[in-house]
Amino acid sequence: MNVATNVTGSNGTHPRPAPSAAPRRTVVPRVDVYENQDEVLLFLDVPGVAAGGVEVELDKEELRIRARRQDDAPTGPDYERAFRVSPGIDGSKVEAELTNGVLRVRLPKADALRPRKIQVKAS
Amino acid sequence: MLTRFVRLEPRFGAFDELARRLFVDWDADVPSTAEAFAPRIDLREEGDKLVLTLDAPGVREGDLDLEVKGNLFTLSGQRKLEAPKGYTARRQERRVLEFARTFDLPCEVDAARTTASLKDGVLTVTLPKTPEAKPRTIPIRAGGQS
Repeated sequence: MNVATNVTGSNGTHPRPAPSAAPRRTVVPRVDVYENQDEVLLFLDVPGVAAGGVEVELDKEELRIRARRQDDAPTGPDYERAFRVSPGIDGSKVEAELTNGVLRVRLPKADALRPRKIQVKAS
Repeated sequence: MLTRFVRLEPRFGAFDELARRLFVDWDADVPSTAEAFAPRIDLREEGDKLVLTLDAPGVREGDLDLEVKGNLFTLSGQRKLEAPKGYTARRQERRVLEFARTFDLPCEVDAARTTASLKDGVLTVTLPKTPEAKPRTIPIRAGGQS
């Protein structure tokens, strides 16, 4: 299973400015991880990145997030981080959204992992 | 009198254990704490203006204050972090940002024409130099025996 997710955001794609003298460095972005019974939510700080610059890829159990900066801040880095997720994540439903330099990734759990309520029937 | 001590210990059931293992970081090479409290700032000179860029992910316009006075430029701001409701936090590396910095600029800038924009979590401030601060070309007159 290899799922590349399109990122929706306020901006469309815009071209990267001409490469400056020094290549950008790549840093590991900070992340907050939240979970409820239905999904895992990730928030990553990726300032300078617009919607067109984000790549979210789930390949088997590896979730890889790459974000390329598109502004012209001279020392601003690109971002890359990988996570291992259990097979319990439904790869076809992964979503990502970018707002003000914060990337939110939704990883819905597969149905089998969700706790189910069992109805008790009155006899 | 009988006092009972009740020890409250976190207990992880099977599901909780599974949930904790659902998300394992691949590489935990995280930037230092110092970097978190001092957001990245570039200040550069571009001809007749100074341009400052600041990484401010998740910061809203209303959370920023800018002030220009002569050649002093003060920038302060903050971002709050709100945990989504109904979720359990598994990892929290992102910090509340709170910063205030005053820059002693290399020249006087025109406060009235200073502009600031916030886009994709980056603040860009353009500070035009005052006419006095711009370099002037001084013509050299041919002198001597004229």
